[in-house]
Amino acid sequence: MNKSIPELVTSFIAGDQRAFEDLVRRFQKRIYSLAYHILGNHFDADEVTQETFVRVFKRRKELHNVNYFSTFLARVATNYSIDLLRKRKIQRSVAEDSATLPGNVQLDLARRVSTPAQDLESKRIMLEIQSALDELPPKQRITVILHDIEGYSKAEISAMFECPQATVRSNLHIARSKLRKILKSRPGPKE
Amino acid sequence: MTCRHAISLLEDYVDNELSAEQTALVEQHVSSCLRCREHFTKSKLLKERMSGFFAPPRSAEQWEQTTQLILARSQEPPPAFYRVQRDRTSQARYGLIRSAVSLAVSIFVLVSAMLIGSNHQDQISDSNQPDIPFLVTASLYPEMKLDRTVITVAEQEQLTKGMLLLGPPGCLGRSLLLADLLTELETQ
Repeated sequence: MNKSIPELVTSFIAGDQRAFEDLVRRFQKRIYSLAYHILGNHFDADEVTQETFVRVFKRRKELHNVNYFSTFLARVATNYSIDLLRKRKIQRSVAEDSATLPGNVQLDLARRVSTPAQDLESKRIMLEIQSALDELPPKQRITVILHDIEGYSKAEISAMFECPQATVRSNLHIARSKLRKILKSRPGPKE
Repeated sequence: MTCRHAISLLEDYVDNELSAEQTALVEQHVSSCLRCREHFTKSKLLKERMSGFFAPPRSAEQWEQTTQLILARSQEPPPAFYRVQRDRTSQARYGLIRSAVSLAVSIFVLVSAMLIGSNHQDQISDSNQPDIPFLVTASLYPEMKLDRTVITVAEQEQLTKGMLLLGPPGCLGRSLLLADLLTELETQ
């Protein structure tokens, strides 16, 4: 029977291993996606995904509000991603071949009746945006990834990082403005 | 509405976070201002492209593998080189006890040293008891070629005065002069 997230979290906190497994299956894709956009490669994203859930498992007693489980998960994942980013001092590697294009884009391309030139243009724009994200400072990059890519609200991001919503709003606006400037300054067809 | 005001509401408009009244005003301005319309179009396009930005797809087997790894790792004990984390309360208590013990030991050593030093000072300065034995220091013994290691306080005082007069160790004839001085003290 399909339990709701708060019910699963309550069971998980009480020590139910099956509830934990269920939560892992429900949230791992989202956490993987978040980590991938921050770190830019499969291996680090997979490591962050695993480590996030392991840490959440060990810190389950800190979960006071079962309704904020996804926010708690995202916070742990983001903080670990930032640590990993600093340790490895990596630039996000940009996917060069179509096999690693974002899945949604692949599906979209398959459905649409488009010319190869249009497909190539879409791919180029995606690569440009990925590259432009690399140039943002970590806080702004993560804010725009969480909000514009992963779909977290400003309230959720504010709760995640324990900062005012005005700060989140400010970081987001500055990040978008910088992205537009970076993309505008690059040669080739504009967005 | 001015262009400046419209652009200040740009991001909130793109996020659909304006009130109905503000949205109507912005849309009215945008419809009549080419520059702001271009601005809004670019912002909206960027957001649309970002929202369609997903991580590369993975197979069901890959997801299952990650799940199994997570479940296995969550049951592992912490690595040997990581200390088991005590909870904050017991850590603080343990630290407090250690600090109190260190402080008590330090006070004990300080008081003992002061007492010993005080006794020693009394012994040295007490010229009415010249026969109190005084151990010759390791540096003094070979220099003076003494055949005994204990001299009296009075002898020690005399020798100290003599050494001060004769200069530091290594001075020519100093050892012989000190030996003569001691012999003279012995015959007194």
